[in-house]
Amino acid sequence: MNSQKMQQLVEQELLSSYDSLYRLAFTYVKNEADAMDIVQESSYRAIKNSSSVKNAAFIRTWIWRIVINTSLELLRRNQKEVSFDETPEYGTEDIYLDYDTIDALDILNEKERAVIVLRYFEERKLQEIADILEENLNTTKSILYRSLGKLRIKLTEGELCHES
Amino acid sequence: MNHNLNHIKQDYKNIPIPEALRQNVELSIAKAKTELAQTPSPAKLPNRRFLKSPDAVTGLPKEGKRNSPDAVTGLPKEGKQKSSAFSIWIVRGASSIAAAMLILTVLVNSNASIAYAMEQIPVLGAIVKIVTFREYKHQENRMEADIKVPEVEIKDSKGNLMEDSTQKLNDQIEAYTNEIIAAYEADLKAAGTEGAQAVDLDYEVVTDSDKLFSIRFHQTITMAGAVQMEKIYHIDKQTGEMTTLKDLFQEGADYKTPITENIKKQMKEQMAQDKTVTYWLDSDVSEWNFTELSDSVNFFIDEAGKLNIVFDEYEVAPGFMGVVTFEIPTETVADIVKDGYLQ
Repeated sequence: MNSQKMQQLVEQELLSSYDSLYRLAFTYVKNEADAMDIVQESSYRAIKNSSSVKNAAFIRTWIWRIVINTSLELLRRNQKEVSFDETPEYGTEDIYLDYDTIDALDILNEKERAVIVLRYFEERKLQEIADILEENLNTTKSILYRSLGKLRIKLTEGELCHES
Repeated sequence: MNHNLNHIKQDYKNIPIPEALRQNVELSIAKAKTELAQTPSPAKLPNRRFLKSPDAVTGLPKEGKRNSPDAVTGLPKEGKQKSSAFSIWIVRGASSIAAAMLILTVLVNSNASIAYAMEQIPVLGAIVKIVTFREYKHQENRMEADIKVPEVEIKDSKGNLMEDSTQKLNDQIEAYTNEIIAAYEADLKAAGTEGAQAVDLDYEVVTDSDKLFSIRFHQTITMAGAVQMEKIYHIDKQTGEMTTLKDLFQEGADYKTPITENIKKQMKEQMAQDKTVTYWLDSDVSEWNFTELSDSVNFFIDEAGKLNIVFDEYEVAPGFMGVVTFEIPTETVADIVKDGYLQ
């Protein structure tokens, strides 16, 4: 497949999934401006490097991986910058929607969060998630168990492995 | 059983998608594609969309060289000011007709003065000057473009037109500007009446010494945030030929390594001094990292005769760093530079 074609496929995938990519980024950074930055930056990088994708079947997992990496990079940068800047802003409280439940994901580490979001909210197959995280299937499963444990959610084995 | 998880999922699905997201994604895609197109072959654009500027007349007022005071460049350039920039668009949309008329008047007036100012008187060797420029202008709802396309003329020291060199340079400039126009028109078509975007392309002569004539393009795309891109063309005045970075150095000399190493050193120093400065040197995503100067890197030689290397937004750093410039100490390349280019 030539690189022109691959670029088109990457573009199509970006345009059909940008809202999901945005939501995933949002679970990491929790604000609109940063989440938008991440999706834009990731789109740019994906097109720029689209010729490095060898197989069209991997485009989607590859793009998700870029978004996760970009989110983490931005988080690390922000940690360095604003660690003392944590005073609550009372005046703006009612503008924000209530993301208490999404904040529950904060007890998960970066990988665990990606697994939960991708498996249950984006309804991806476990194998696909494993590809995104570049882990093998069993490791991914154990990350999933561990994450659910942290969230105090108990599922039966059947529910866990049920592929939609 | 997984009541809790469903609850989170519901909130997740309810995360609102910002209105500008799709367009910003399209813009990022367009930007990446523009940069990837190395040998652009854009569709021929209808000429009637260009307004011909008044022919250049001799006369040399030095004022008004840079830019007309249009509304576009008045917008915030920082990516961090997204929400406020967006509200400016909404306000501007309401008064777009008045704004369009204002811009047109300003431009008609400034065209002539820019054309005068661009006449260049050389010292020796080839004579390079910008003889005229065309302008691509478009304004509709909240979409607007103002793209200036200069036409350059190269003459030898006897005053004869050097047709090949002139043609080659003008072709390159046109290919570059057509690419930008094509990207804008694609966005226009895709966005319909919902679009909100401003594309501005301006140029200036940054160097006109005995040795070199350099013309620098500034492109700004403003949507919710703004991205900036640069392109600089150089003419060697001894030969009248287009010049790249390689041509400043002796045949076969390795100029990339010392310059690359110097830039990396400057990046590290800046990051150590200021925690808010970030360059991609050893980020997690290895393909983003700055490893070596590319053949087509933008550069210019400043008034002090120092070499400056220019990177576009996103090229070596996250978007919030903007266009970044590194001044290379001349001693770094003193052994290999050709005489007379650097000081």
